[in-house]
Amino acid sequence: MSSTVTDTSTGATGAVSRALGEFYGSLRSLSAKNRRNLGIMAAVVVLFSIWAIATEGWNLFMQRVVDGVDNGFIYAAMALALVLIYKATTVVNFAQGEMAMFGTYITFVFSSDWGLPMWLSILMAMLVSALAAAGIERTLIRQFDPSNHLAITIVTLSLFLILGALAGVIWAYDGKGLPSPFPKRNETFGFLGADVEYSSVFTWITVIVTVVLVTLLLNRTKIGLAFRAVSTNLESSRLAGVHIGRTLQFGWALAAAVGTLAGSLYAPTTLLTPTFMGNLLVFSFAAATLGGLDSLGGSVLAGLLIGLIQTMAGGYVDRIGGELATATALAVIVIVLAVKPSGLFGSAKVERV
Amino acid sequence: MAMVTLQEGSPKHRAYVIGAWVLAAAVLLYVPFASDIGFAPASIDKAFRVTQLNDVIAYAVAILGLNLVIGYSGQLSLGHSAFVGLGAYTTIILVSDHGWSYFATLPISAALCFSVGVIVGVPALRIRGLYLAIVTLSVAYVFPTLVLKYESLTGGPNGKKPARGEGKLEPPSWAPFSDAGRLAQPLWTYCLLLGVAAVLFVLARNFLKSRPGRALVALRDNPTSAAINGVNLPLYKTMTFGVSAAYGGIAGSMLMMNRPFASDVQFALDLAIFLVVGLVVGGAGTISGAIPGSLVFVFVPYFMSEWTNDQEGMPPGLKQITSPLFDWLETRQGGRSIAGVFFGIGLLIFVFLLPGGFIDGMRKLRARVVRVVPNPSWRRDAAAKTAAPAAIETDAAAPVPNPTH
Repeated sequence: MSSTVTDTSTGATGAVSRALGEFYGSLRSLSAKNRRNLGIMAAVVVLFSIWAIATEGWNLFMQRVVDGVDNGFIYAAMALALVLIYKATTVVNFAQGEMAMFGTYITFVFSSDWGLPMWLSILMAMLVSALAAAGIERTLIRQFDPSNHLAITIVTLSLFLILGALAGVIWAYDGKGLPSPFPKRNETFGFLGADVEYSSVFTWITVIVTVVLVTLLLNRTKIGLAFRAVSTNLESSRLAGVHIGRTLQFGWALAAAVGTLAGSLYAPTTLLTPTFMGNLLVFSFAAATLGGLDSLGGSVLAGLLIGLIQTMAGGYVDRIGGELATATALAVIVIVLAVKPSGLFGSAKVERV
Repeated sequence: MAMVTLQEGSPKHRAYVIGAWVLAAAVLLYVPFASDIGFAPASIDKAFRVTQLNDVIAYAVAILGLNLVIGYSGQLSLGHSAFVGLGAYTTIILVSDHGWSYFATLPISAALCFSVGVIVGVPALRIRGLYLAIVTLSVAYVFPTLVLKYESLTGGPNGKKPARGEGKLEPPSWAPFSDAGRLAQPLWTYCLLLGVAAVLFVLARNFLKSRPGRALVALRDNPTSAAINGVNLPLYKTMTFGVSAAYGGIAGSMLMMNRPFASDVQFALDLAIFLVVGLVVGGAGTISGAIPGSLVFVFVPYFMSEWTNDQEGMPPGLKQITSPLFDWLETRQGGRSIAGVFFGIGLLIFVFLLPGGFIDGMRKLRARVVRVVPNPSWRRDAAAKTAAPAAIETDAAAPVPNPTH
């Protein structure tokens, strides 16, 4: 853990090359067992793809891949927000979905009531929700000892209730259409036989850029260093003079901003209602755990994986169909967690007895 | 300082304990059978109110089961709604399709839920904390989709209920309230459910006071030292999940005895979350906390939405203050959902005032009035033991006899 907290190399390029180096290093140091497991997984994926292409053709297969990736990136963005709060407080924020929903409504107010351009509204809504989350942290969360998980969980549950109902009072339950922030709306281009919407590609790019930015923020800034220190060991960082409350506040604000971004990217593909984040929360929660709760990049990959499993299982296996697609994705997660209890990319916890 | 000091085991202390039990029993009997239930507005049908009380009993059992996992073994489980639903569907299918009686289905749904609970508990052996929460959350999320998928068995989105007049719980003729008309059936159900719940509560209390119960608490407080002291962690973890699920299943069957209708939305994720809310409101790691938790679970959201729809039933003082707010809400399309805001704010106030839950607060309040001190004769015995000249060090470290025995 200490190697990630100390900062040696400089600049973004340094970070990228170091990350690549670590990646290759970890590949080389893979044990025979891990290599075998990876091999089995790859073989399963290849066999499934060949079977899928053989049964229903290349175009449909590619289309489903694209749809799965499309869903996966949205899950990944929400998972990012969840991981941030989990790292900050080690509680599940049940209100994360409702916070994102509320932030998306703020985007809606800025763009359609005030007539601001979409991008500006999203940025302003991110700012507003970050401030609001910082306020929530200060007034409701910081009153409790960080180790009092039950009380903090109840606070997030009551936020879940309050925000959901408040949005209903303010904006009613009829669906609102949020325009997409990207150009070339509803236009598609052909990619290897699949129709891809321009706006989804922009969404993917935005999510990737967000992950990179958040990673840089956590790895390159002083507050990011403090944040990582607090999430690694709260007591030690308090002894080292880190202001715990303010650091956690930063985590809440960042998570709320990312959540608002995720909601604003997701809303144009559906209708904006006070409950539109409901299903998304379960999947992003799953992505966050599958990725191993302390790995930002891992949660993105896991989000993609869940999106793909959902569309593939639902599309190709008749017995599963649309109804059980979700159940299948969740079952896969349970199996993965049973094999690797700290997720695919999480750092395994070693306890001293 | 406490106003009254009682010595443990003294006649005074015994009278106090017996008095408390008699009072509790009197309340349990008075509330449904009284001619007018204090909190019932005149417009509400009394039979409906008794039905709600029956719900309270059933959910109290469910929360008690959840408490075994969360409060006593310290594992966050968010999948309890699935077990309640499984029990409910087991009962309703056996009663309406196979003509069973309600009581005969109780052991079946308990056994079924126990086995499913053990299966869900198996991942819990390797997965901990939040990772376990997502596994159990998946169970809660998947259950309604399974109900919809196997429509021929469960009735799908239309729900399932027994045919009219079939498998009803009619009171026997010797019951004093058998001629109470529409009230007779809910009152009889109340008696039956109260009996089942009493057995389950006593079982849970005895279980937690026995060796397995203490092992469970040891496991929660420090798994490593529990294992060193010979607690079989895998066995206890899976068994706790199983027992908790069995309680949930019985609670589901009890719900069906009260209102014989099961649908997928009834047992969705919200139920799991609200059961956790009820658990924490009552107090995690307490047996009696299930009762206030369940009362809050059933009545607070109900009254919130009642008062939002119609302010007539509200206490008069409250009505004066809130009428401008409600007048404004009338003009809003989604104004009805303000009930959720009130519930959430109430929960926030609660967690700030009584962070340990209702029972913890009551205990603190009681400690201000009554102080129970251990009987000095036990202390004398213990002191005599340690002071005995023959006592070597190991003897001196022998535990003081537990005053609760």
